[in-house]
Amino acid sequence: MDDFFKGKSKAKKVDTSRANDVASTVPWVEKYRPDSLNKVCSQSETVNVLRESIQSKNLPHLLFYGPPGTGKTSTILALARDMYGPELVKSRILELNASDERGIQVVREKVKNFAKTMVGNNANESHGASLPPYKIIILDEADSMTEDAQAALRRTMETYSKVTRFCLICNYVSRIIEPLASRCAKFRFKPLPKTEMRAKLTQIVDGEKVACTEEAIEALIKTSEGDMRKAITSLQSAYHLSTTGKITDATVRDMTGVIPSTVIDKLMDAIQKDSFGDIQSVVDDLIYDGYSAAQILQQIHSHVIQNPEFSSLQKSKMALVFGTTDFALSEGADEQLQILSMNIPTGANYHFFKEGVKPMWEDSANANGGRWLVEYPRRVEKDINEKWINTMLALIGESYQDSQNICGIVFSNRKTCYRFSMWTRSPDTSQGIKEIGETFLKYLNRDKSNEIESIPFNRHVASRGAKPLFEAKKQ
Amino acid sequence: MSLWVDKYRPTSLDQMTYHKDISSHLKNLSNSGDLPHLLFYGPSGAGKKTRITATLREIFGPGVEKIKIDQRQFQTPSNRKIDINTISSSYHIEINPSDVGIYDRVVIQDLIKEAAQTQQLSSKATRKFKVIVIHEADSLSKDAQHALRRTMEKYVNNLRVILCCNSTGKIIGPVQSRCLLVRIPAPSVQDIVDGLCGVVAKKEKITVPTELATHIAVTSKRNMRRAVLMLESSYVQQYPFTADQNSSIPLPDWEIAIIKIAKLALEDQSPQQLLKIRGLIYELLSHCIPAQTILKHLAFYWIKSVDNELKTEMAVCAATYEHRLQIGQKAIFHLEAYVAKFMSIYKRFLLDISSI
Repeated sequence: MDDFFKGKSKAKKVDTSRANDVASTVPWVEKYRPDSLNKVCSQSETVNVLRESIQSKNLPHLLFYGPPGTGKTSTILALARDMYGPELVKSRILELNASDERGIQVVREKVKNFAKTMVGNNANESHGASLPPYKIIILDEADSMTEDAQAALRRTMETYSKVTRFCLICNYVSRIIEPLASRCAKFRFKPLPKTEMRAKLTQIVDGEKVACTEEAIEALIKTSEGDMRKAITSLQSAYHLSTTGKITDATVRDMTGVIPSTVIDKLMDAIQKDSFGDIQSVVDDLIYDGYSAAQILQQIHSHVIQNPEFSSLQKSKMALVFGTTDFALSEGADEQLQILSMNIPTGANYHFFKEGVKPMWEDSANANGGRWLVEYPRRVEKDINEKWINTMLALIGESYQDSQNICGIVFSNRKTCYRFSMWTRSPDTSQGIKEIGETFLKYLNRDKSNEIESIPFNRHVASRGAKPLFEAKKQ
Repeated sequence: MSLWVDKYRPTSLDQMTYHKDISSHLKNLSNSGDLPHLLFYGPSGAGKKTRITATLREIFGPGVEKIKIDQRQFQTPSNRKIDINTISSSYHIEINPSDVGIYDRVVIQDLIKEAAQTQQLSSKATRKFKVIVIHEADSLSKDAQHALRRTMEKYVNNLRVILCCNSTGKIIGPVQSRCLLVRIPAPSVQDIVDGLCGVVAKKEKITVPTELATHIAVTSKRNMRRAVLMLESSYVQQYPFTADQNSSIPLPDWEIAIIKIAKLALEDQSPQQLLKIRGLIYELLSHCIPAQTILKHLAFYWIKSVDNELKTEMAVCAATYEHRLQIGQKAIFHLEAYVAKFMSIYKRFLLDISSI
């Protein structure tokens, strides 16, 4: 008899351990998914509105949008549990995501049939308060639904609005057709703020009894960029990976595929020095090390944007290059070539202008004016400083006869050449302008190296390659 | 008798000769009882697949190696039947979705759900979950990747997904944030030399001079698979090895042909020359050399041989034409355009130089 019972109890034990086993293999992302609205951290505005609407039992159709890992799916699941209680939730909810067939056929049949069915409003005594008289259909990842399927939803949503609420979840609200979007209350999910992420991560770290340094949590927050799921997945993997059982920031950075900042610095150095050999060797190493081009691009971008060394004009030019490269990459162009050819314009412009005149064509002083232009190819001109100093000093020392017509001078440092341009006011008195040009040329040639015979003058508005208006010759 | 590459492929994580830290991480991971979804990425020939099989072996034991090839049939929404070959053991399934082109979404949806909804039955199984390995995940269409998203979360109790790809750039963010990213860098030159001299040479009982091994490692562009193949081919050609055998390591025919094209364009820039080159490119294309490979090899050869001042411009124009090649239809147009563009840039440069 005893044995019999013992045997039974043993069997029971095995069962529970098996259940524990299953529980332990559940990733933390699932384990710590909030099961009630109150536990949803961040997104307070959304949560408050939703809570109100539960109380008033009047839920609109919902449209959640925002970047991945901000809690869209979690929120709606938590809301459903709060409303229906854990038992009924399964029968009151239809969850469809991109892994299900969601063509127009499914919308017409499955969704419509589910939407049609009526539900009682006091079916469950145990839950206490009477239940809201409607079901919820969750269309997760709705931005990957075809437009036809979305269009098929339009009338369905309205017809059955008495007994069914829809909740659309997507990353990009622009992919949802306008008629659908206008039928829903839109909620934007923002990337999680640092404090909330830290709180949640600390909670998990305590709950799982993981040894984890402050810096490691800091690194997790930084690399995940407001994506809670990414942060938790990284935390758990770091926990499994770490041989010592302690998570440090080095482990985290190692794992998230972030390129070490020294490598990025090296690449930026090479780009700024404009030495192609260096760039090529750094890029080759990066590609052989398996870093993805998108990651390289992103890190260079954040490096540049935060760098006060570059002017805003330069930054915008770089942004253009980044945009082009990213576009090409997303269309499947070769990563190595793309990164190699990222011709980041690091060249600078130096503007030296009179007070009150802005170095822009649009400025009233420059609008009708023009410029004397001279270029020195880099392969012939080795030391440009002398020429710059000479021209500047001449300007400051009032060496120009017609100096009231001068607006300013620009020096541009370009990949293949150095360029000087002397900006003047409107060229109606050709004599004065010509004199300026001749004087300008005289000071440029003063150091007796790479002497120039003549320089052209054109209006700012003249098209590229137009014939010069005047020419100044060497005297 | 099999190729050395297959013969000496490591089968367990301990046999891996390089990236020891990654191996030990993977070992920890597979022994911890829980496994996150994994995403392996790195250049080709770095040992991604080898590591995946070794990891699976570490998790499930030698039973993983008893594999069978199945042909599975799937039905698309438009009632077309498609066949795909899967390699499976009782613990895992491997698929290569690029075989089915635009229907990969259907395959992913059906296959994963089917696998996920059946629990591990075998009593010998040490784990509660099955593993699905998806090779060439970067060629999965966006739709298919979206289909992976929620499935990966929903069936996490009895299913883990291992993705294998060259670059994470083409994997959508939501899938990336569900996986543990494992970067497999290409082996360094020293790693390859050690591999060639230490493992292959020892087991094959031959001697490989270090100079030769280094040379192979450099020409293989840090690709282990290619290095071993090259070693074998030079072994067949001449053994015992001599230290000065470097020059005789045979380049593949197509590479020689590409270099010939590159040289022609450097010699003379004229429409006649372009016509000549066009014939050669056609020949390469008709031998099934991918247009991307041709363009890339040309680009790097030219970048190497032109003046410093031109290099950046060369890279920019190579990148432009490569991009067009990707989205365009007919490869020959873009290749020819690229050659013509190169000629014009180069000619202009030469004229510039001579005028000074």
